[in-house]
Amino acid sequence: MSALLEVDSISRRFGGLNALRDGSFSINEDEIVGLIGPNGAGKTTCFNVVSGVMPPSAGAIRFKGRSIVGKRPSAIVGEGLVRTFQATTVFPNATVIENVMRGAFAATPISLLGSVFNTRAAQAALSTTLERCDLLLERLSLTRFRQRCAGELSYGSQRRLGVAIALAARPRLLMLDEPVAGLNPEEAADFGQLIKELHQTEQIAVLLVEHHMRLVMGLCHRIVVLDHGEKIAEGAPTEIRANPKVIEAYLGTEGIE
Amino acid sequence: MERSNSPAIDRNEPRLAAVRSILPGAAIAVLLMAALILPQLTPNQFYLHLANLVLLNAIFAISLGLIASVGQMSLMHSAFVAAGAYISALAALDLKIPPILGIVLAGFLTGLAAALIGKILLRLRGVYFVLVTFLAGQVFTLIALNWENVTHGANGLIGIPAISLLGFPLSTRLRFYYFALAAFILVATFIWLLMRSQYGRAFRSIAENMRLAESSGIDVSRYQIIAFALGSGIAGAAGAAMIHYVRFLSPDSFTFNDSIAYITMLVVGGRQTMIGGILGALFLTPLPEALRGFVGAQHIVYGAILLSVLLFLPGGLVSIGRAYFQKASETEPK
Repeated sequence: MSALLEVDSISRRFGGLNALRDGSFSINEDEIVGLIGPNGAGKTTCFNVVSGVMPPSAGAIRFKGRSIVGKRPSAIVGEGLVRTFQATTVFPNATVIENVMRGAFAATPISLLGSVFNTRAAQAALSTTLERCDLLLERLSLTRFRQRCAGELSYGSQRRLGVAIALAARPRLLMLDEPVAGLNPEEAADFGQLIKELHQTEQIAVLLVEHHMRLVMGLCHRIVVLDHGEKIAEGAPTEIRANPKVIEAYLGTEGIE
Repeated sequence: MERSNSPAIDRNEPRLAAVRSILPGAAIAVLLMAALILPQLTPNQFYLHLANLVLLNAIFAISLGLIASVGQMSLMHSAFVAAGAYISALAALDLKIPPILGIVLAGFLTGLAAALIGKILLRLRGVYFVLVTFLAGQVFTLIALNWENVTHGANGLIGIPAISLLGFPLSTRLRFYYFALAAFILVATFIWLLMRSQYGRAFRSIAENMRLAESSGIDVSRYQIIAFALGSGIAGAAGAAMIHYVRFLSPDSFTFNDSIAYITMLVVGGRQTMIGGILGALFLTPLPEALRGFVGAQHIVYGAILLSVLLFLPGGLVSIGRAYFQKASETEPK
């Protein structure tokens, strides 16, 4: 069985800077993979290249066996590869439920003209989507904020809403960019639990960029380590933890608990 | 009021919701009746002319609002209005195409042109887009001025025929009023339907957070082009309709100042909803006439109004009414 996402020796240069050099990794269905490394290692560049925000300078990216290089980010979302962002992850002036409905835009099987004239088929499709979005809100404990403006929510709730928006697009692979940055330890632990649950119940693969080592080690089946744009290690959490190159570049000699 | 507990909401909400759901329909019905009998109340031709201009300006403003709804502000709106006017006027004068077909043709061709121009220009964002549309608008005026064997340059086009419906010419202000009213209702209904559909959802998402919209599967460039083409096409068709009413067209008929006037209407009325553009047109169209005693000071007054609205009423005139409604329904717990 081929992998869900195959990243085949991609590079990305910004002028003279090699932000990403010859990076290869793959993600199988039903797998949680961590992408770690020091700041400036190329993690976010890697995210941007894979999600279509910027093209790779070289290399191939295949999702479900088909190349996605050169496709627009919105088209890649339509294929089932959805990402979140480090910062701005919500539509601040829209209600929470509207935020999730917007996330479900591409996953709502509706003819646009039908929605203009509000045909019966369009109404049915929209109400199915609405039900699904309400379920997502419940999943992410956001139901009580349903009619609130997303901008009014606490930081932690906004991060959960960001995930709800991404999930609404029905991803096969969810890429999370530092989802627990800025959360307190308790919230971070809850978030980890949430990802684990979603992974199991929705059967989605997850690619996780995170500095929170306890979360990464506890959650991921496999970890890819980047440094200066190059992959320096890949393996199970226990292997990564013991890898001298990783310890030198990122984890530090004190290791982690 | 503010700290009411949830049972109170449950009791109030359905009644309030019922009132709110009937209110817009009732208001529209009353306004429509008023609009229909308005010309019967005044024999004054000048007021009738103003009413016609209000209707046309309202179309220009809400079509610009459609473009603004994807977060872009076009300073070449008047160029599309002028392009539509030239297309229909020339079609009528040189090709003897009936004006009513010319209007449709003008809408279609300006929309198509906007789609092509938009495909290039909409890669620019924010202030860059504004600046480039400003330049494109100026270029259009220069073309209209210098392409003399087609546009007759600064001399303009004269003798443009009035619209004729089944042999019935709309050659008086009163007759045109009903045509303009119908056109306005058609456009307003279309934009209203569009904005509450999935298109509207996509447009608002893009305006609010372009990056998140794209990564939610909304093709930003596609929907921006759609909004720009539809808004500009409507403007072109309305410009064509207007020129068969005014019946004289020169490069000075629609200039950069008109683009600014449409933006002012939109901002003064309120950018967020379609009613804003309509209110803006209603409020600002008669203003130059009211200020006729202060020729030269008109633009200062316009500028002062625009600034005061931006400073003190950023939501526009519409937000006054909305604040009232929100106060009435402020039973939701914090």
